[in-house]
Amino acid sequence: MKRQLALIGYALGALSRRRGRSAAVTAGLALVVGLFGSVLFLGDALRAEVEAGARYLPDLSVQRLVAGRPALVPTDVVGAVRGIPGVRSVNARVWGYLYVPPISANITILGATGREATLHAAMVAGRSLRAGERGACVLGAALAEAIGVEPGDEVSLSSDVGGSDATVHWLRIVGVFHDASALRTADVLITSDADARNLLGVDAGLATDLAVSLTTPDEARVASEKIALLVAGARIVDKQLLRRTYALTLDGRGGLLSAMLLPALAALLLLAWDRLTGLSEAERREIGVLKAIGWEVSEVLTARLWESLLVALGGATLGVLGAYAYVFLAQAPGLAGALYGWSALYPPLRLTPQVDAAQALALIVGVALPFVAVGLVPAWRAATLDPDHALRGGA
Amino acid sequence: MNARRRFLTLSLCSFFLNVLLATVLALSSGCGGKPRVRCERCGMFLDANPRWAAGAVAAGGRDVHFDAPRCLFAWLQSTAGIGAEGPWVTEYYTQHKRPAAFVWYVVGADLTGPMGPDFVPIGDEVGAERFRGEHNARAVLRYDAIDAAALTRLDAH
Repeated sequence: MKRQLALIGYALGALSRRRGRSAAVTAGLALVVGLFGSVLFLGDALRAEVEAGARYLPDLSVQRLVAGRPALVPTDVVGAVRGIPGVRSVNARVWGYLYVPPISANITILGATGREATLHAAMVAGRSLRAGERGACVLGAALAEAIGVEPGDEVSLSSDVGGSDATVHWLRIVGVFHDASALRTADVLITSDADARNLLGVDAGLATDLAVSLTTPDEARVASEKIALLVAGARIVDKQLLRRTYALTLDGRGGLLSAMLLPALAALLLLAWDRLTGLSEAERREIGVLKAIGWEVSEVLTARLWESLLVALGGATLGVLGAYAYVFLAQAPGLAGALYGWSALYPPLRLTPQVDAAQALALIVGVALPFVAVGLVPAWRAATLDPDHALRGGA
Repeated sequence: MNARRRFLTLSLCSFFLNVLLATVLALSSGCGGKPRVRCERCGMFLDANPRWAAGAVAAGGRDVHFDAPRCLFAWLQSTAGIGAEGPWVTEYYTQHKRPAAFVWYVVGADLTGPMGPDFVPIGDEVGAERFRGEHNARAVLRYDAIDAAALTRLDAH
Protein backbone atom coordinates (compact mmCIF):
# COMPACT_ATOMS: atom_id res chain seq x y z
CA MET A 1 0.00 0.00 0.00
CA LYS A 2 2.74 2.41 1.04
CA ARG A 3 4.68 1.42 -2.05
CA GLN A 4 1.68 2.05 -4.31
CA LEU A 5 1.07 5.44 -2.66
CA ALA A 6 4.67 6.37 -3.29
CA LEU A 7 4.30 5.31 -6.92
CA ILE A 8 1.12 7.39 -7.21
CA GLY A 9 3.04 10.30 -5.73
CA TYR A 10 5.77 9.81 -8.30
CA ALA A 11 3.22 9.54 -11.13
CA LEU A 12 1.57 12.79 -10.03
CA GLY A 13 4.97 14.47 -9.95
CA ALA A 14 5.73 13.20 -13.45
CA LEU A 15 2.36 14.48 -14.69
CA SER A 16 2.98 17.90 -13.15
CA ARG A 17 6.39 18.05 -14.87
CA ARG A 18 4.63 17.51 -18.22
CA ARG A 19 1.77 19.78 -17.30
CA GLY A 20 0.88 20.91 -20.81
CA ARG A 21 0.61 17.43 -22.26
CA SER A 22 -1.31 16.04 -19.27
CA ALA A 23 -3.78 18.92 -19.39
CA ALA A 24 -4.32 18.50 -23.15
CA VAL A 25 -4.99 14.75 -22.92
CA THR A 26 -7.25 15.23 -19.87
CA ALA A 27 -9.21 17.92 -21.69
CA GLY A 28 -9.58 15.71 -24.78
CA LEU A 29 -10.85 12.81 -22.68
CA ALA A 30 -13.20 15.07 -20.77
CA LEU A 31 -14.65 16.34 -24.05
CA VAL A 32 -15.31 12.87 -25.46
CA VAL A 33 -16.73 11.52 -22.19
CA GLY A 34 -18.77 14.71 -21.83
CA LEU A 35 -20.35 14.25 -25.26
CA PHE A 36 -21.18 10.59 -24.60
CA GLY A 37 -22.41 11.43 -21.11
CA SER A 38 -24.67 14.20 -22.39
CA VAL A 39 -26.42 11.83 -24.78
CA LEU A 40 -26.82 9.20 -22.04
CA PHE A 41 -28.04 11.66 -19.39
CA LEU A 42 -30.44 13.36 -21.79
CA GLY A 43 -31.82 10.00 -22.91
CA ASP A 44 -32.25 8.88 -19.29
CA ALA A 45 -33.95 12.13 -18.31
CA LEU A 46 -36.36 11.94 -21.25
CA ARG A 47 -37.09 8.29 -20.53
CA ALA A 48 -37.82 9.20 -16.91
CA GLU A 49 -40.21 11.96 -18.07
CA VAL A 50 -42.04 9.43 -20.24
CA GLU A 51 -42.22 6.94 -17.37
CA ALA A 52 -43.45 9.60 -14.96
CA GLY A 53 -46.11 10.60 -17.47
CA ALA A 54 -47.11 7.00 -18.20
CA ARG A 55 -47.66 6.34 -14.50
CA TYR A 56 -50.76 8.56 -14.60
CA LEU A 57 -52.04 7.23 -17.91
CA PRO A 58 -54.99 4.86 -17.89
CA ASP A 59 -54.22 1.31 -19.07
CA LEU A 60 -56.45 1.91 -22.07
CA SER A 61 -57.65 5.26 -23.42
CA VAL A 62 -60.70 4.84 -25.60
CA GLN A 63 -61.12 7.63 -28.14
CA ARG A 64 -63.47 7.77 -31.07
CA LEU A 65 -62.88 8.76 -34.65
CA VAL A 66 -65.51 9.87 -37.12
CA ALA A 67 -64.34 10.43 -40.69
CA GLY A 68 -60.79 10.24 -39.39
CA ARG A 69 -61.29 13.11 -36.94
CA PRO A 70 -61.55 12.87 -33.12
CA ALA A 71 -65.16 12.78 -31.96
CA LEU A 72 -66.93 12.53 -28.61
CA VAL A 73 -67.59 9.11 -27.10
CA PRO A 74 -71.16 8.25 -26.03
CA THR A 75 -71.15 7.45 -22.32
CA ASP A 76 -73.93 4.84 -22.55
CA VAL A 77 -71.26 2.23 -23.36
CA VAL A 78 -69.57 2.75 -19.96
CA GLY A 79 -71.64 0.05 -18.27
CA ALA A 80 -70.89 -2.49 -20.98
CA VAL A 81 -67.16 -1.69 -20.93
CA ARG A 82 -67.14 -2.05 -17.15
CA GLY A 83 -68.63 -5.52 -17.55
CA ILE A 84 -65.68 -6.79 -19.61
CA PRO A 85 -63.66 -9.29 -17.54
CA GLY A 86 -60.40 -7.79 -16.34
CA VAL A 87 -61.68 -4.19 -16.37
CA ARG A 88 -61.32 -2.61 -12.95
CA SER A 89 -62.89 0.78 -13.63
CA VAL A 90 -64.06 3.03 -16.44
CA ASN A 91 -63.89 6.79 -16.20
CA ALA A 92 -65.72 8.94 -18.78
CA ARG A 93 -63.52 12.01 -18.93
CA VAL A 94 -64.44 15.45 -20.16
CA TRP A 95 -61.47 17.57 -21.12
CA GLY A 96 -60.39 19.87 -23.88
CA TYR A 97 -58.69 23.10 -24.81
CA LEU A 98 -60.08 26.57 -24.27
CA TYR A 99 -58.59 29.72 -25.76
CA VAL A 100 -58.07 32.47 -23.21
CA PRO A 101 -57.61 35.83 -24.99
CA PRO A 102 -55.91 37.77 -22.13
CA ILE A 103 -52.94 35.38 -22.08
CA SER A 104 -53.18 34.54 -25.80
CA ALA A 105 -52.95 30.83 -25.08
CA ASN A 106 -54.93 27.64 -24.92
CA ILE A 107 -55.47 26.15 -21.50
CA THR A 108 -56.48 22.57 -20.77
CA ILE A 109 -59.82 22.23 -19.00
CA LEU A 110 -60.28 18.95 -17.17
CA GLY A 111 -63.54 17.84 -15.62
CA ALA A 112 -62.95 16.18 -12.26
CA THR A 113 -64.68 12.85 -11.91
CA GLY A 114 -63.06 11.59 -8.75
CA ARG A 115 -59.72 9.93 -8.43
CA GLU A 116 -57.76 12.02 -10.92
CA ALA A 117 -59.03 15.28 -9.42
CA THR A 118 -55.74 16.02 -7.72
CA LEU A 119 -53.57 14.42 -10.43
CA HIS A 120 -51.43 13.07 -7.58
CA ALA A 121 -49.78 16.46 -7.62
CA ALA A 122 -48.80 18.49 -4.60
CA MET A 123 -50.96 21.45 -3.71
CA VAL A 124 -48.84 24.57 -3.48
CA ALA A 125 -51.58 26.73 -1.98
CA GLY A 126 -55.21 26.27 -0.98
CA ARG A 127 -56.93 22.88 -1.11
CA SER A 128 -57.95 20.34 -3.71
CA LEU A 129 -61.39 20.21 -5.28
CA ARG A 130 -64.21 18.52 -3.34
CA ALA A 131 -66.32 15.91 -5.10
CA GLY A 132 -69.09 17.57 -7.12
CA GLU A 133 -68.14 21.09 -6.02
CA ARG A 134 -69.61 23.60 -8.53
CA GLY A 135 -68.18 26.96 -9.53
CA ALA A 136 -64.71 26.19 -8.23
CA CYS A 137 -61.43 25.19 -9.81
CA VAL A 138 -57.79 24.35 -9.10
CA LEU A 139 -55.01 25.61 -11.38
CA GLY A 140 -51.54 24.49 -12.39
CA ALA A 141 -48.86 26.67 -10.81
CA ALA A 142 -47.57 28.01 -14.14
CA LEU A 143 -51.06 28.99 -15.29
CA ALA A 144 -51.83 30.71 -11.98
CA GLU A 145 -48.62 32.68 -12.36
CA ALA A 146 -49.41 33.61 -15.98
CA ILE A 147 -52.84 35.04 -15.10
CA GLY A 148 -51.55 36.42 -11.80
CA VAL A 149 -54.10 34.85 -9.47
CA GLU A 150 -54.07 33.01 -6.16
CA PRO A 151 -56.58 30.94 -4.15
CA GLY A 152 -59.64 33.02 -3.27
CA ASP A 153 -59.61 34.95 -6.56
CA GLU A 154 -62.13 34.37 -9.32
CA VAL A 155 -61.47 33.86 -13.01
CA SER A 156 -63.95 34.49 -15.78
CA LEU A 157 -63.82 32.18 -18.76
CA SER A 158 -65.86 32.51 -21.90
CA SER A 159 -67.33 29.20 -22.95
CA ASP A 160 -66.22 27.63 -26.19
CA VAL A 161 -69.70 27.26 -27.65
CA GLY A 162 -69.30 30.35 -29.79
CA GLY A 163 -71.79 32.65 -31.47
CA SER A 164 -74.64 34.06 -29.48
CA ASP A 165 -74.58 31.08 -27.11
CA ALA A 166 -71.22 32.11 -25.63
CA THR A 167 -71.58 32.74 -21.93
CA VAL A 168 -69.14 33.88 -19.32
CA HIS A 169 -68.45 31.52 -16.42
CA TRP A 170 -67.01 32.61 -13.12
CA LEU A 171 -64.88 30.08 -11.30
CA ARG A 172 -63.47 30.57 -7.81
CA ILE A 173 -59.91 29.37 -7.45
CA VAL A 174 -59.64 27.10 -4.42
CA GLY A 175 -56.13 25.77 -4.95
CA VAL A 176 -52.94 25.85 -6.97
CA PHE A 177 -51.02 22.65 -7.61
CA HIS A 178 -47.60 21.72 -8.81
CA ASP A 179 -46.02 18.60 -10.21
CA ALA A 180 -42.38 17.52 -10.59
CA SER A 181 -42.90 17.69 -14.34
CA ALA A 182 -44.24 21.07 -15.43
CA LEU A 183 -45.15 19.54 -18.78
CA ARG A 184 -48.18 17.74 -17.41
CA THR A 185 -49.72 20.39 -15.23
CA ALA A 186 -48.51 23.82 -16.35
CA ASP A 187 -51.62 24.84 -18.28
CA VAL A 188 -54.25 22.71 -16.55
CA LEU A 189 -57.45 23.98 -14.95
CA ILE A 190 -59.48 21.34 -13.11
CA THR A 191 -63.11 22.03 -12.37
CA SER A 192 -66.23 19.96 -11.75
CA ASP A 193 -67.51 17.71 -14.50
CA ALA A 194 -70.61 19.88 -15.00
CA ASP A 195 -68.62 23.13 -15.22
CA ALA A 196 -66.18 21.55 -17.67
CA ARG A 197 -69.12 20.46 -19.85
CA ASN A 198 -70.53 23.99 -19.82
CA LEU A 199 -67.19 25.58 -20.66
CA LEU A 200 -66.31 23.15 -23.42
CA GLY A 201 -69.81 22.71 -24.79
CA VAL A 202 -69.89 18.94 -24.26
CA ASP A 203 -73.43 17.65 -23.84
CA ALA A 204 -74.43 15.17 -21.15
CA GLY A 205 -74.19 11.63 -22.44
CA LEU A 206 -70.94 12.34 -24.26
CA ALA A 207 -67.33 12.33 -23.09
CA THR A 208 -63.96 13.25 -24.57
CA ASP A 209 -62.59 9.79 -23.92
CA LEU A 210 -62.90 6.79 -21.63
CA ALA A 211 -60.07 6.02 -19.22
CA VAL A 212 -60.11 2.26 -18.65
CA SER A 213 -58.16 0.73 -15.81
CA LEU A 214 -57.38 -3.01 -16.01
CA THR A 215 -56.62 -5.49 -13.25
CA THR A 216 -53.80 -6.96 -15.33
CA PRO A 217 -52.04 -5.51 -18.39
CA ASP A 218 -51.99 -9.02 -19.93
CA GLU A 219 -55.68 -8.55 -20.69
CA ALA A 220 -55.15 -5.30 -22.67
CA ARG A 221 -55.31 -6.97 -26.09
CA VAL A 222 -58.50 -8.94 -25.42
CA ALA A 223 -60.20 -6.00 -23.65
CA SER A 224 -59.29 -3.68 -26.56
CA GLU A 225 -60.87 -6.09 -29.04
CA LYS A 226 -64.06 -6.21 -26.99
CA ILE A 227 -64.21 -2.42 -26.57
CA ALA A 228 -63.72 -1.96 -30.32
CA LEU A 229 -66.89 -4.01 -30.84
CA LEU A 230 -68.82 -1.84 -28.36
CA VAL A 231 -67.72 1.64 -29.52
CA ALA A 232 -68.12 2.43 -33.20
CA GLY A 233 -64.93 3.96 -34.65
CA ALA A 234 -62.98 3.39 -31.45
CA ARG A 235 -59.30 4.21 -31.33
CA ILE A 236 -57.80 2.49 -28.32
CA VAL A 237 -54.44 3.60 -26.97
CA ASP A 238 -52.68 0.91 -24.94
CA LYS A 239 -50.38 2.33 -22.25
CA GLN A 240 -47.83 -0.50 -22.63
CA LEU A 241 -47.59 0.03 -26.39
CA LEU A 242 -47.24 3.78 -25.94
CA ARG A 243 -44.39 3.30 -23.44
CA ARG A 244 -42.65 0.83 -25.71
CA THR A 245 -42.93 3.19 -28.68
CA TYR A 246 -41.41 6.06 -26.71
CA ALA A 247 -38.63 3.86 -25.36
CA LEU A 248 -37.80 2.61 -28.86
CA THR A 249 -37.78 6.12 -30.30
CA LEU A 250 -35.54 7.53 -27.58
CA ASP A 251 -33.21 4.53 -27.59
CA GLY A 252 -32.97 4.69 -31.37
CA ARG A 253 -32.13 8.37 -31.48
CA GLY A 254 -29.74 8.17 -28.52
CA GLY A 255 -27.99 5.18 -30.09
CA LEU A 256 -27.58 6.97 -33.40
CA LEU A 257 -26.05 10.00 -31.68
CA SER A 258 -23.69 7.79 -29.65
CA ALA A 259 -22.63 5.94 -32.79
CA MET A 260 -21.80 9.27 -34.39
CA LEU A 261 -19.54 10.04 -31.43
CA LEU A 262 -17.55 6.79 -31.70
CA PRO A 263 -15.08 8.20 -34.27
CA ALA A 264 -14.26 10.98 -31.78
CA LEU A 265 -13.31 8.38 -29.16
CA ALA A 266 -11.26 6.42 -31.69
CA ALA A 267 -9.45 9.58 -32.77
CA LEU A 268 -8.62 10.43 -29.16
CA LEU A 269 -7.25 6.97 -28.44
CA LEU A 270 -5.12 7.16 -31.59
CA LEU A 271 -3.79 10.54 -30.49
CA ALA A 272 -3.06 9.19 -27.02
CA TRP A 273 -1.19 6.21 -28.53
CA ASP A 274 0.84 8.58 -30.69
CA ARG A 275 1.69 10.84 -27.76
CA LEU A 276 2.54 8.04 -25.38
CA THR A 277 4.76 6.04 -27.75
CA GLY A 278 7.13 8.87 -28.45
CA LEU A 279 9.31 9.25 -25.35
CA SER A 280 10.85 12.67 -25.09
CA GLU A 281 14.56 13.09 -24.30
CA ALA A 282 13.72 14.26 -20.78
CA GLU A 283 11.50 11.22 -20.13
CA ARG A 284 14.16 8.87 -21.43
CA ARG A 285 16.71 10.42 -19.10
CA GLU A 286 14.28 10.26 -16.21
CA ILE A 287 13.68 6.54 -16.72
CA GLY A 288 17.41 6.00 -17.11
CA VAL A 289 18.02 7.66 -13.73
CA LEU A 290 15.26 5.59 -12.10
CA LYS A 291 16.66 2.34 -13.47
CA ALA A 292 20.20 3.38 -12.53
CA ILE A 293 19.21 4.00 -8.89
CA GLY A 294 17.67 0.54 -8.74
CA TRP A 295 14.01 0.74 -9.85
CA GLU A 296 12.64 -2.55 -11.10
CA VAL A 297 10.90 -2.89 -14.48
CA SER A 298 7.63 -3.57 -12.64
CA GLU A 299 7.95 -0.35 -10.65
CA VAL A 300 8.58 1.82 -13.70
CA LEU A 301 5.69 0.06 -15.43
CA THR A 302 3.36 0.59 -12.47
CA ALA A 303 4.30 4.26 -12.20
CA ARG A 304 3.58 4.76 -15.93
CA LEU A 305 0.25 2.93 -15.58
CA TRP A 306 -0.71 5.10 -12.63
CA GLU A 307 0.02 8.12 -14.80
CA SER A 308 -2.39 6.92 -17.51
CA LEU A 309 -5.00 5.89 -14.97
CA LEU A 310 -4.90 9.25 -13.19
CA VAL A 311 -5.26 11.12 -16.47
CA ALA A 312 -8.05 8.77 -17.64
CA LEU A 313 -10.06 8.92 -14.41
CA GLY A 314 -9.56 12.64 -14.04
CA GLY A 315 -10.63 13.31 -17.61
CA ALA A 316 -13.58 10.91 -17.46
CA THR A 317 -14.87 12.38 -14.18
CA LEU A 318 -14.52 15.91 -15.48
CA GLY A 319 -16.44 14.80 -18.57
CA VAL A 320 -19.28 13.21 -16.58
CA LEU A 321 -19.60 16.26 -14.33
CA GLY A 322 -19.51 18.51 -17.40
CA ALA A 323 -22.22 16.43 -19.07
CA TYR A 324 -24.39 16.66 -15.94
CA ALA A 325 -24.03 20.44 -15.85
CA TYR A 326 -24.69 20.72 -19.59
CA VAL A 327 -27.84 18.60 -19.52
CA PHE A 328 -29.46 19.49 -16.21
CA LEU A 329 -28.20 23.00 -15.50
CA ALA A 330 -28.00 24.33 -19.05
CA GLN A 331 -30.85 22.07 -20.36
CA ALA A 332 -28.71 20.68 -23.21
CA PRO A 333 -28.83 23.46 -25.79
CA GLY A 334 -28.25 22.05 -29.28
CA LEU A 335 -28.39 18.39 -28.35
CA ALA A 336 -31.96 18.44 -27.05
CA GLY A 337 -33.41 19.13 -30.49
CA ALA A 338 -31.91 15.92 -31.87
CA LEU A 339 -33.56 13.78 -29.21
CA TYR A 340 -36.88 15.60 -28.84
CA GLY A 341 -37.66 15.64 -32.53
CA TRP A 342 -38.44 18.85 -34.33
CA SER A 343 -41.57 20.15 -32.70
CA ALA A 344 -41.20 22.95 -30.20
CA LEU A 345 -42.68 22.10 -26.84
CA TYR A 346 -44.88 24.32 -24.74
CA PRO A 347 -44.23 24.94 -21.92
CA PRO A 348 -40.44 24.61 -21.97
CA LEU A 349 -39.47 21.17 -20.72
CA ARG A 350 -37.42 21.42 -17.54
CA LEU A 351 -35.58 18.13 -17.24
CA THR A 352 -35.59 16.51 -13.82
CA PRO A 353 -32.08 15.26 -12.95
CA GLN A 354 -32.04 11.55 -13.52
CA VAL A 355 -28.78 9.63 -13.53
CA ASP A 356 -28.33 5.91 -13.84
CA ALA A 357 -25.31 5.34 -11.60
CA ALA A 358 -24.38 2.12 -13.36
CA GLN A 359 -24.38 3.89 -16.71
CA ALA A 360 -22.19 6.75 -15.47
CA LEU A 361 -19.73 4.25 -13.99
CA ALA A 362 -19.78 2.17 -17.17
CA LEU A 363 -18.99 5.29 -19.17
CA ILE A 364 -16.04 6.21 -16.96
CA VAL A 365 -14.68 2.67 -17.00
CA GLY A 366 -15.43 2.21 -20.71
CA VAL A 367 -13.26 5.16 -21.61
CA ALA A 368 -10.63 4.86 -18.89
CA LEU A 369 -9.85 1.18 -19.55
CA PRO A 370 -9.03 1.46 -23.28
CA PHE A 371 -7.02 4.57 -22.49
CA VAL A 372 -4.93 2.73 -19.90
CA ALA A 373 -4.63 -0.25 -22.24
CA VAL A 374 -3.36 2.00 -25.02
CA GLY A 375 -0.65 3.23 -22.64
CA LEU A 376 0.43 -0.30 -21.70
CA VAL A 377 2.81 -1.07 -24.58
CA PRO A 378 4.60 2.30 -24.49
CA ALA A 379 4.91 1.91 -20.71
CA TRP A 380 6.46 -1.53 -21.15
CA ARG A 381 8.87 -0.17 -23.76
CA ALA A 382 9.87 2.65 -21.44
CA ALA A 383 10.29 0.35 -18.48
CA THR A 384 12.60 -2.04 -20.32
CA LEU A 385 14.95 0.70 -21.53
CA ASP A 386 18.58 -0.01 -20.78
CA PRO A 387 19.61 2.60 -18.17
CA ASP A 388 23.05 3.05 -19.69
CA HIS A 389 21.62 3.78 -23.15
CA ALA A 390 18.88 5.94 -21.73
CA LEU A 391 21.28 8.13 -19.79
CA ARG A 392 23.71 8.44 -22.66
CA GLY A 393 20.85 9.46 -24.95
CA GLY A 394 21.03 6.36 -27.16
CA ALA A 395 18.00 4.38 -28.25
CA MET B 1 8.36 23.43 -5.31
CA ASN B 2 5.36 25.11 -3.76
CA ALA B 3 3.40 24.95 -7.00
CA ARG B 4 4.26 21.30 -7.39
CA ARG B 5 3.07 20.49 -3.89
CA ARG B 6 -0.16 22.33 -4.53
CA PHE B 7 -0.66 20.39 -7.76
CA LEU B 8 0.09 17.12 -5.96
CA THR B 9 -2.41 17.83 -3.19
CA LEU B 10 -5.04 18.90 -5.68
CA SER B 11 -4.55 15.81 -7.82
CA LEU B 12 -4.64 13.45 -4.85
CA CYS B 13 -7.79 15.13 -3.54
CA SER B 14 -9.54 14.85 -6.90
CA PHE B 15 -8.49 11.20 -7.19
CA PHE B 16 -9.94 10.26 -3.81
CA LEU B 17 -13.04 12.34 -4.51
CA ASN B 18 -13.40 10.25 -7.65
CA VAL B 19 -13.17 6.98 -5.74
CA LEU B 20 -15.66 8.30 -3.17
CA LEU B 21 -18.07 9.38 -5.91
CA ALA B 22 -17.85 5.98 -7.57
CA THR B 23 -18.51 4.21 -4.27
CA VAL B 24 -21.49 6.41 -3.43
CA LEU B 25 -22.93 5.90 -6.91
CA ALA B 26 -22.45 2.14 -6.70
CA LEU B 27 -24.03 1.95 -3.24
CA SER B 28 -26.96 4.22 -4.06
CA SER B 29 -27.98 2.03 -6.97
CA GLY B 30 -28.04 -1.18 -4.97
CA CYS B 31 -29.64 -0.21 -1.68
CA GLY B 32 -33.16 -1.20 -0.70
CA GLY B 33 -35.47 -0.93 2.30
CA LYS B 34 -37.07 -4.05 3.74
CA PRO B 35 -35.97 -7.53 2.67
CA ARG B 36 -37.58 -8.70 -0.57
CA VAL B 37 -39.59 -11.93 -0.69
CA ARG B 38 -38.16 -14.70 -2.86
CA CYS B 39 -39.88 -17.65 -4.51
CA GLU B 40 -39.43 -20.75 -2.35
CA ARG B 41 -38.81 -22.93 -5.40
CA CYS B 42 -36.81 -20.88 -7.93
CA GLY B 43 -35.48 -18.00 -5.81
CA MET B 44 -36.83 -15.21 -8.02
CA PHE B 45 -38.07 -12.00 -6.37
CA LEU B 46 -41.86 -11.82 -6.05
CA ASP B 47 -42.12 -8.04 -6.35
CA ALA B 48 -40.76 -8.16 -9.91
CA ASN B 49 -44.04 -9.63 -11.12
CA PRO B 50 -46.57 -9.85 -8.27
CA ARG B 51 -49.50 -10.58 -10.60
CA TRP B 52 -48.67 -14.29 -10.64
CA ALA B 53 -47.85 -14.74 -6.94
CA ALA B 54 -48.86 -17.93 -5.12
CA GLY B 55 -48.19 -19.41 -1.71
CA ALA B 56 -48.90 -22.02 0.93
CA VAL B 57 -48.17 -22.90 4.55
CA ALA B 58 -45.37 -25.48 4.78
CA ALA B 59 -45.59 -28.51 7.07
CA GLY B 60 -43.64 -26.67 9.76
CA GLY B 61 -46.18 -23.82 9.83
CA ARG B 62 -43.96 -21.44 7.84
CA ASP B 63 -45.51 -19.21 5.15
CA VAL B 64 -43.92 -19.90 1.78
CA HIS B 65 -44.28 -17.78 -1.35
CA PHE B 66 -43.94 -18.54 -5.06
CA ASP B 67 -43.56 -16.26 -8.06
CA ALA B 68 -45.87 -18.36 -10.26
CA PRO B 69 -48.46 -21.16 -9.96
CA ARG B 70 -46.12 -23.62 -11.69
CA CYS B 71 -43.53 -23.12 -8.94
CA LEU B 72 -46.24 -23.78 -6.34
CA PHE B 73 -47.28 -27.02 -8.04
CA ALA B 74 -43.71 -28.18 -8.56
CA TRP B 75 -43.03 -27.53 -4.88
CA LEU B 76 -46.25 -29.28 -3.74
CA GLN B 77 -45.21 -32.37 -5.71
CA SER B 78 -41.66 -32.36 -4.32
CA THR B 79 -40.70 -33.75 -0.92
CA ALA B 80 -40.52 -30.21 0.46
CA GLY B 81 -44.25 -29.78 -0.15
CA ILE B 82 -45.38 -32.84 1.78
CA GLY B 83 -47.89 -31.87 4.45
CA ALA B 84 -48.32 -28.32 3.10
CA GLU B 85 -51.65 -26.62 3.78
CA GLY B 86 -53.78 -23.83 2.34
CA PRO B 87 -52.16 -23.36 -1.09
CA TRP B 88 -53.37 -20.18 -2.75
CA VAL B 89 -52.96 -18.51 -6.13
CA THR B 90 -53.66 -15.05 -7.57
CA GLU B 91 -56.81 -15.11 -9.68
CA TYR B 92 -56.12 -13.67 -13.14
CA TYR B 93 -59.12 -11.36 -13.68
CA THR B 94 -59.59 -10.01 -10.15
CA GLN B 95 -55.96 -10.21 -8.95
CA HIS B 96 -57.21 -11.49 -5.61
CA LYS B 97 -55.85 -14.38 -3.54
CA ARG B 98 -57.95 -17.53 -4.01
CA PRO B 99 -57.60 -21.05 -2.56
CA ALA B 100 -55.71 -23.06 -5.19
CA ALA B 101 -58.18 -25.96 -5.05
CA PHE B 102 -61.18 -23.79 -5.97
CA VAL B 103 -60.09 -22.25 -9.26
CA TRP B 104 -59.76 -23.52 -12.83
CA TYR B 105 -56.38 -23.58 -14.54
CA VAL B 106 -55.94 -22.75 -18.22
CA VAL B 107 -52.85 -24.14 -19.92
CA GLY B 108 -51.22 -23.28 -23.22
CA ALA B 109 -52.41 -19.65 -23.29
CA ASP B 110 -50.69 -16.92 -25.33
CA LEU B 111 -49.37 -15.18 -22.20
CA THR B 112 -46.35 -16.10 -20.18
CA GLY B 113 -45.73 -15.83 -16.48
CA PRO B 114 -42.40 -15.04 -14.81
CA MET B 115 -41.33 -18.68 -15.37
CA GLY B 116 -42.58 -19.02 -18.94
CA PRO B 117 -45.76 -20.93 -19.85
CA ASP B 118 -47.94 -21.31 -16.78
CA PHE B 119 -51.26 -22.42 -15.34
CA VAL B 120 -53.50 -19.32 -15.49
CA PRO B 121 -55.86 -19.39 -12.47
CA ILE B 122 -59.43 -18.35 -13.36
CA GLY B 123 -62.15 -18.05 -10.73
CA ASP B 124 -65.04 -19.87 -12.47
CA GLU B 125 -65.48 -22.48 -15.16
CA VAL B 126 -67.37 -20.24 -17.59
CA GLY B 127 -64.64 -17.62 -17.31
CA ALA B 128 -61.97 -20.27 -17.79
CA GLU B 129 -63.60 -21.56 -20.97
CA ARG B 130 -64.00 -18.01 -22.31
CA PHE B 131 -60.36 -17.25 -21.47
CA ARG B 132 -59.32 -20.43 -23.29
CA GLY B 133 -61.00 -19.20 -26.47
CA GLU B 134 -59.72 -15.61 -26.21
CA HIS B 135 -56.12 -16.52 -25.46
CA ASN B 136 -55.80 -19.51 -27.83
CA ALA B 137 -55.25 -21.84 -24.91
CA ARG B 138 -55.09 -25.65 -24.98
CA ALA B 139 -57.10 -26.92 -22.05
CA VAL B 140 -58.78 -26.15 -18.75
CA LEU B 141 -57.66 -28.23 -15.75
CA ARG B 142 -58.91 -28.66 -12.21
CA TYR B 143 -56.56 -28.58 -9.22
CA ASP B 144 -56.46 -32.37 -8.82
CA ALA B 145 -55.54 -32.90 -12.48
CA ILE B 146 -52.26 -31.02 -12.15
CA ASP B 147 -49.63 -33.69 -11.67
CA ALA B 148 -46.01 -34.16 -12.71
CA ALA B 149 -47.11 -34.97 -16.27
CA ALA B 150 -49.12 -31.73 -16.53
CA LEU B 151 -46.07 -29.78 -15.33
CA THR B 152 -43.90 -31.43 -17.98
CA ARG B 153 -46.48 -30.76 -20.69
CA LEU B 154 -46.48 -27.00 -19.86
CA ASP B 155 -43.22 -26.55 -21.73
CA ALA B 156 -44.11 -28.95 -24.54
CA HIS B 157 -45.34 -26.18 -26.85
